[in-house]
Amino acid sequence: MLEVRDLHAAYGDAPVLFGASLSVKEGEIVELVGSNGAGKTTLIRCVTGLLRRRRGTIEFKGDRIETHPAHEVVDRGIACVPEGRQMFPSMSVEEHLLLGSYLRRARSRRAENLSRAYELFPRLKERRRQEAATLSGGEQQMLAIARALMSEPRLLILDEPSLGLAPVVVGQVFRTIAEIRKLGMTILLVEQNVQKTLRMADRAYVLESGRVTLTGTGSELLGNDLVRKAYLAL
Amino acid sequence: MDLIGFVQTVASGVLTGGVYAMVGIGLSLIFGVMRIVNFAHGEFMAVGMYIAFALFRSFHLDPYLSLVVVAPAGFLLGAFVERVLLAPIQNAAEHSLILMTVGVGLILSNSLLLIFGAHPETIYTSYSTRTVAIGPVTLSVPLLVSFALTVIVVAGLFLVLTRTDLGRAIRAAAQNRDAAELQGVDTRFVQTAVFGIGIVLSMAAGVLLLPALYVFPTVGGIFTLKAFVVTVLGGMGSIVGAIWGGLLLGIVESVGAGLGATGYRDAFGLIAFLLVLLVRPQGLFGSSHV
Ligand SMILES: Nc1ncnc2c1ncn2[C@@H]1O[C@H](COP(=O)(O)OP(=O)(O)O)[C@@H](O)[C@H]1O
Ligand SMILES: [Mg+2]
Repeated sequence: MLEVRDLHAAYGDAPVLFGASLSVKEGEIVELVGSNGAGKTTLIRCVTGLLRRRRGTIEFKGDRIETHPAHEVVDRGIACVPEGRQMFPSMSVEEHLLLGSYLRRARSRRAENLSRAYELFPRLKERRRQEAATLSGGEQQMLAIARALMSEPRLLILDEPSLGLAPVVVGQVFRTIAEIRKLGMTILLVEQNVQKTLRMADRAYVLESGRVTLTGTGSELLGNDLVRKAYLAL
Repeated sequence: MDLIGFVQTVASGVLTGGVYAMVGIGLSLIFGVMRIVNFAHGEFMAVGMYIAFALFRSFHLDPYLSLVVVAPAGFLLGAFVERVLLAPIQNAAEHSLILMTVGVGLILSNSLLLIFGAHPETIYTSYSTRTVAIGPVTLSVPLLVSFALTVIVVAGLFLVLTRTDLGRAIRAAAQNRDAAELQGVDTRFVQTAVFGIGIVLSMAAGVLLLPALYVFPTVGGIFTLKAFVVTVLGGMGSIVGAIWGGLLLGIVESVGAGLGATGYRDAFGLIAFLLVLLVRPQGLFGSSHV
């Protein structure tokens, strides 16, 4: 479904990605792991169209999308829960969800999707009139996920959804992702919290200094000595 | 000044202040979304005044009716300037953008000079000097009409910003541009639309002030300054703040002039502005969100 080949990216003169490749097949949950600064977010920004890649191709459902602006990439069916949640601080919970269904193709089923989002996240319904800035970190993360689902994506990308959250809340976020998975969503998950998430992944890639250095099924990587040393501190 | 005189002065300050608010809202909206201070804002307003003036001279079109022409013309002019002059340099250093808007302002005021000459002009309508009495207070009819139209325009803008997809997209783009793109918002288009809307507000305010003011090619400079004062008073980027800032500026100017210093009318606004900056640099109603 998603095919990233030989991706090179840079910020100004500073190169970050050096020919990274990965793929996600329909129905899979694929995890991308790597330490801080490895280039995971940069890769996601290239896929979602927020950053122009220097070289390489990105294919989604058979079409090349590497030169599309971000708003067209969403329209094609890739929704992203960005790193740091990226709220609109003085907009209400409900306004976030309405923006999630801003695309013309998602507007016709807006009411249905809104009630589905509130079913999935009852907490958001309680807070629907509240401004995002007043929500807790966990609630903001739930809102970011719900907002992304409002566009009826085929592929959901989550960039470090557990970042900065209390351990209890992290558990909730991962359970939510597992639930969304059960609904049949294809997922690309970026995480550093590999212990809790690799078990749930069909396949995983390890990104190091802008290159994919290791790939395999989730349990293979969980058993890999290098991964255990680097990310599980075992 | 006796009590009635004071009420009278404050009331006419409020009426003018409403129109100032409209100019300020345009500047604030543009700043909120694009992070550009439009130094040509008052010059666009002068263009609005001259269009209304020319339509009145040539076709006896009532200035208020000329809004039907000025509003779409303003949107097209604003969108054109954004697309052709501002968008290509939007990632350049801040001073380039400042120079660009200053340059646009110079071109506008000099074009007006070329077309209309330097004489102050004014229009005279049947209601130009008419007043209505509300109790002991008398108010100028053109200012009342202008104020009413301002209220309608601003209320309409609020409805658009809070109730429509375009409005939510504009606010989202102002608060977190990348996140807005990720929801499918074409933020390039939003910027063009916002600059267009901001210019419509400025040019419409010019039309609304025409019955009460002399118009000359450099009248815009004063209003760029006033718009700037209004938005800084209210907090850069805040629309509600611009409303209060506009009203405050109108009242301060009017009361200052009423105290017998008519010639220093504009200076009173600037003094208030400096005082506010000294005491509350974030503006009186500070919040930087559209
Ligand atoms: N906006 C930016 N400008 C310049 N350098 C950046 C920017 N964002 C990230 N980088 C650099 O790119 C590298 C990769 O960052 P990132 O993709 O965020 O890594 P990760 O998400 O894996 O932690 C880091 O060295 C980081 O400092
Ligand atoms: Mg990251």
